[in-house]
Amino acid sequence: METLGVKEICGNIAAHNGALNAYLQVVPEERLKPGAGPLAGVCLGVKDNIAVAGLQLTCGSKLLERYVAPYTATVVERLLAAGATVTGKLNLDEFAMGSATTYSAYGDTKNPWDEDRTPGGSSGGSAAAVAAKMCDVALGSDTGGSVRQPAAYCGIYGYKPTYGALSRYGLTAFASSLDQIGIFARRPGHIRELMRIAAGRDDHDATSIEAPSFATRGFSPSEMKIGVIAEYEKKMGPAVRPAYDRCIETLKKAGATIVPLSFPEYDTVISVYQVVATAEASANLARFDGIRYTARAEGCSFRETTAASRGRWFGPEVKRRILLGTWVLSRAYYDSYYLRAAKVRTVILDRWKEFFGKVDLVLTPATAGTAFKRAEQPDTFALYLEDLFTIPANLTGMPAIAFPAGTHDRLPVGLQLTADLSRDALLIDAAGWLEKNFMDFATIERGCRHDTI
Amino acid sequence: MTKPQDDIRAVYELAALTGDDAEFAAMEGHFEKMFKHLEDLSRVPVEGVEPYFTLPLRELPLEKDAPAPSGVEAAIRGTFAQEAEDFLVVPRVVNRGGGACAEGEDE
Repeated sequence: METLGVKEICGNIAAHNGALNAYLQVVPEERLKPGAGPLAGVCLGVKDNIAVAGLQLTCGSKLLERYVAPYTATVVERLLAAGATVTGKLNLDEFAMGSATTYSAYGDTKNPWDEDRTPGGSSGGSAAAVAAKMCDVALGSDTGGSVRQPAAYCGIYGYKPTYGALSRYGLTAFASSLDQIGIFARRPGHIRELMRIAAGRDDHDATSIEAPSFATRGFSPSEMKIGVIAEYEKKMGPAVRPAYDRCIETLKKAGATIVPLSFPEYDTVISVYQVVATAEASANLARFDGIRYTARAEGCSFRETTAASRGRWFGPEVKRRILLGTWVLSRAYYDSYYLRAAKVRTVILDRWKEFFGKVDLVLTPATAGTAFKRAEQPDTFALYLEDLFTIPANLTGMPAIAFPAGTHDRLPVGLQLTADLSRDALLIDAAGWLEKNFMDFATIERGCRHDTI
Repeated sequence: MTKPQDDIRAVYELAALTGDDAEFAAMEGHFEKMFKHLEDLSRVPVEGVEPYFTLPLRELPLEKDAPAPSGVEAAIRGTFAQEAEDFLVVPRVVNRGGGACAEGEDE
């Protein structure tokens, strides 16, 4: 795998991190010793909700400001064993809850293409660091699109594997049935290299699965049926539509069959996600009680101490989600919200299984538009709608990849391919074909030159 | 659906969170909007549909319940505000001097 080299990466971090605020902690250059193995020399940035022993693990929260991870996440451990080097910890929305990296307790991350704009979120630090060449590849986490949306906003590849393909051991849990560690890269081939090494069962994660094959079988568009979803086509904005149409045209010209699909439940995915993710978050974040891990506010009893600590140091978005999750799990609301959302999730899963009975891949936008200005961030509720195109892959566990698809007004546009469970290799093969025949990071870089990049 | 502030306060307590009146008022507006949006869920027919909670879990080997050296103890100890020989004082109390406790209550 080709790498930029420690010197260039450290130079880029020194030059750009002050402005971009992508890294929350940088490992000093003298400690970046290349390992041995297939990933020797690869500089890996890690989202700051993934544990690396001896490095901070703030999750973007004041509550964990002084917390240092005592062990290393399985995925990171496997990559380190193959020779990769961790360059530092990357900024995120607090506990990965957000779509713009504006909910970090340590300041916003800026988009390298335009510092007035968001890099997306919640893995905004990871996306900005890869796009600005401050690491070769980066890890993020994707619960509702937190890898793919920032990848699209920063013009790079963002991949969420099949649920279970990467162990979640060492990833701070947000919503366990939706969370997956994902990978950011400037080349799809880099994603394949990392997955070959990091994927597979882990005795520390009961939901991890046997790794699907990542061997390339080549991608022959003439043998492919590509699904497109009518309801989504109506929802994409004018910045994305031309790139989407060009991509379909490219695939068609190469012999692919385009199959129209209908997803009548498409607009319920936000509601299902909000109920399921917040319910799981309210349980997962109960461990942050002011007693373990964290800073403690004073109270007269255990209960008071816990409530005061959480009330003081959780940010407003984390509180909103914990409260909603607590609400929908309470006795009076459980059946009408949580149980109902779990049933609608089954309907959505069945719908996507039906899609993959008809097609090999589904093409959608990754986002409705390009990166918005940080000063013009939509309100909390509108921000939730950002994930309309990305949530289905989390609800169904299916693999998906966001890929660069051109520019609009000098800003990157991203599209997304989704495949059936465990067909991750096909997804990466398709992204590789599109890199050669449609659009890649280097093309965007040339068409969209910016001081930082 | 209206969510009066009493409900909001009750959920704060259930969630083990503190908040002030301004926060409760802001949350009231947010949850009113949110629950209205969640009414979407009733549009999808779900009669006879099994809920999807999580993927099946496999059984994992049991591990010995004993701490293993992580190799980064020094880095972790460095984060503690107070330290005594053979003791780690965690976590620190940050806002000492808050409200007074009634007599007999724990501090």
